Amino acid sequence: MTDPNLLGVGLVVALVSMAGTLLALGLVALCVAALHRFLPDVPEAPKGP
Amino acid sequence: MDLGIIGAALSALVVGFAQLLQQPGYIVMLAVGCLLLYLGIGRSLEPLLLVPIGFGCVLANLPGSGITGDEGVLTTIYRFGIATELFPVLIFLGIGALTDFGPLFQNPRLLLLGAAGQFGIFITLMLALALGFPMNQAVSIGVIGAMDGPTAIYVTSNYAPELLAAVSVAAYSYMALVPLVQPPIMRFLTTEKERKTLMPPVAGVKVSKRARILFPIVVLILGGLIAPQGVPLLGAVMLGNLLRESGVVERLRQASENEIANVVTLLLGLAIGSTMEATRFLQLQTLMVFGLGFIAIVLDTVVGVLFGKLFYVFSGGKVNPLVGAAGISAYPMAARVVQQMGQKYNRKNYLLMHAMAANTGGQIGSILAASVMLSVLASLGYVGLR
Repeated sequence: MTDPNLLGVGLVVALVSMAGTLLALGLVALCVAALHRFLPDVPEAPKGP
Repeated sequence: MDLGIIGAALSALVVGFAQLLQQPGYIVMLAVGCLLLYLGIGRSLEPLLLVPIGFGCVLANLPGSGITGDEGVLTTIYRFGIATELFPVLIFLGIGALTDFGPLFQNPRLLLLGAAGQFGIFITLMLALALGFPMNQAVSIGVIGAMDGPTAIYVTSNYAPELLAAVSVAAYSYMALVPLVQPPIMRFLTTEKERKTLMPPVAGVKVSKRARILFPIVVLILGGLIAPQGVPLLGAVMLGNLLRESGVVERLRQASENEIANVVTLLLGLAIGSTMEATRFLQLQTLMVFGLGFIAIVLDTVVGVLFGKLFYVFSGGKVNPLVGAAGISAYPMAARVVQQMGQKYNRKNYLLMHAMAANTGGQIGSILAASVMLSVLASLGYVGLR
């Protein structure tokens, strides 16, 4: 038989892990956006003669 | 000469056949090994993994060879690379060196789809617990939903090594089945109008070299602080990616994505195949692992597409919900499936780069999801074998 306590622990693990994964990827997304925003691709200036 | 001696010597030639007939399980597993070889060679399904796994399975089920015994060659490979978790980590080094995370910079919001594509892990964890599996095994079964072979092997070898063969074969087989499994689910969950949603093509968004170099460092520090249990995996991927993007260690990059990845893939496959011995593999539990693993990948796609629909609503119909199906780790198969279905319903649609962004998000997401789960489990006192 399934232990109800174990199911309860499993539910906590599942919910916290879902939230944690969303939080982690949300922060990564913010960092990616910031990197792209503050470190834009600047084309190199043409070199003189 | 004594005929008895001749008889004894000749009997040595048939002892293998006799043992095989005494234990029909070995015959079944030889057939399973040959089936995996056929799928890899004849059908080109994940051949890099299924060929060595299939061959390892055949080797392990030839009775009397001792190849999987205490001092056997395959046991030595297993102890060296799987029990220590070295092989999955080295595979991730190669994956990091091979992966271009550039598409993520085009639309970082799509990274969140990479989280949605992991929810199958957690729902399957609950299902496995409800079916009576202990926590360590339920975690390992759930992680099939990461659709990420090395992560599944890493977690399972640590938490439930007795399920390693079933979990890893399920993970790699289902990854290969993505093009068959996903389209019906995508069609079922979306309307024709949604599937036709046109997303503007990404006109070569340029990403600066500094941003590309800082990306793996920032993700590692951030991910490592949130989920320290996943640092070995995340660290390997990000090191591989840094080798790629830094541009100053070309030899190391090439070694990571070629020589190291190739040698480790071969040994990893053989070691997994060696765990598929009849006495260990032919159990009801194995079938249940396969069934739950399938549910996990279906749920990944379902939640991914549902998240895609949320994006569709909140963006005012600008994000095609099909892109949500690419938020899994099977790279780049899932992105290709989205591209093909998008074009089928709207010839002007070119979803590939958007799907690639979600797909690379899924790659990071699968590692982070497993890492977060392991960290939560560790904080609750459930620790693996390490």
